[in-house]
Amino acid sequence: MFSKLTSLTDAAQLIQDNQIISLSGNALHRNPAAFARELAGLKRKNLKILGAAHGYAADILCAVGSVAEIYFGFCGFENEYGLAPGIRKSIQEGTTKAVEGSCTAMIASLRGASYGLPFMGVGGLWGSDLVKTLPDFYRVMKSPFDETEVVCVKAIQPDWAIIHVQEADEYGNARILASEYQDILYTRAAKKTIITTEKIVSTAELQKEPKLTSIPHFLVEAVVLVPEGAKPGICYPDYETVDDRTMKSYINAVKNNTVDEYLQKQTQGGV
Amino acid sequence: MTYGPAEMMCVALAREIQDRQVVFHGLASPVPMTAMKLAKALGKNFTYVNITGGVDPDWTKPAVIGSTLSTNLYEGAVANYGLDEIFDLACTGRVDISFLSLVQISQAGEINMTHIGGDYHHPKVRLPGGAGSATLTPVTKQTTIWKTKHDKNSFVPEVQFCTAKADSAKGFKVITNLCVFVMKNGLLEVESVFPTSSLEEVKNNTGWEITQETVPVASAPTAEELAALDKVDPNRIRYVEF
Repeated sequence: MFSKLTSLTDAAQLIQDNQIISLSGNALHRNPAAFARELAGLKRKNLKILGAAHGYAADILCAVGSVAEIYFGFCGFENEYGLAPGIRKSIQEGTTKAVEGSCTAMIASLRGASYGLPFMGVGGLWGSDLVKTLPDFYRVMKSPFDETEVVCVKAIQPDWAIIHVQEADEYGNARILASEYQDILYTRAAKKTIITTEKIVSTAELQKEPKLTSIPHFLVEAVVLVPEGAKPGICYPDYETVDDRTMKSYINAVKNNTVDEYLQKQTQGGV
Repeated sequence: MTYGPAEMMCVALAREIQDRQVVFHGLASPVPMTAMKLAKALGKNFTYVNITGGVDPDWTKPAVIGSTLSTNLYEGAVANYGLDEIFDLACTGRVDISFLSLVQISQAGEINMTHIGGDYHHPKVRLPGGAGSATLTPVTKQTTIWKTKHDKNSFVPEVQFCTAKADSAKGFKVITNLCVFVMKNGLLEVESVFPTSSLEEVKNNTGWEITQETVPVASAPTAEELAALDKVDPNRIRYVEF
């Protein structure tokens, strides 16, 4: 094993124009938020984002115009924080192309990538206009065995899975506590994984219960210690409510076209 | 305890759940979360699955935030079963009820969660996306939609985009703040109207013509149901959606 410890600045530099990324968590839960702000500041172009239910991290990258395509089942912040404002705006303004699946379709696409196959069948979807609207992503084929019709999706391999976890060692062995959402699949599908972590723990600690360490070091390219790295969202068990003031200041920044100023204040430790 | 549409909706959803069923709700779902905890409190012996992976989380712990991705739905769970696996369970016919919501629906059970105005690639208003709906609706034994705002913007003659479609071979219901619709012969009809509303109010707020002249009135929440509701949701998280 080799130490992968690096800084947020250097880790964000790994992401290049035109690459495909998958971001951990779901809605406002356990997003790699600090990483996404760092990457947003780099103003990369033509990124593609792939996942099931996107929240703050994908939103801020869309808000700064870095995202050419977003693959999703759902985009939103849940309930009182409403729809994902940056994603919505960038799709409506034509900056970002929307490739809507069901969450299941995105899972199938990632499974295809992780299995080394060019496409994957997915259940349901009958009667949905999505299938005929997006022929670059969906096709219907017959089973070679019994002629059953199956909706298929194109397998898409992310260049990077960027996963915020609670515990990792310096080599990239990482534990997600409580809900994993689709994060384990992202690491299996992607070419490489970047870990941001609330805490660095010793390898000896992880060796006590290997099954809990669901991300092994050999998938990981970089490890960054970022306490509170999912804020203003939620990361169990350290912070379990949304940082209301910061989240609202972000939503207002999108509305007022002042996301760059928001990013500057964030990196200076302000609101 | 008095009741209004929020309580009536939670009770109506809970009444849909039967012993031995596997029941799912997704994110941004405070009303189904409350209803499923209510059904647990009323002693219904079903399996509760959700996006956090928690199977049968500890329903005695009240939710403190509206998010239905939080550890409130994970802690005290008896096992872990993630969303990928829940979708597989549904696709193999082993999920009995999916509680889903929507932005617009037509009488034919076409659900729009994609866009309003413009076209798919140039939307005037981009909606959040259907999440699991397009997969789950055709494969779950019964899809039960909840919608807390029953009006003509949501209950429309036809949708511009069909994100997910009700399968008439499966059970399909829509429970609103005013009434319960059920799919029969491929079309939604009013199954019952809530005691807090009237058939006239339902007709005035629905974008398609309802020709039914009389419909049953749903039973008001019982004292037992309301007491259990107060126990599982003392923080009134259900009101996040109203």
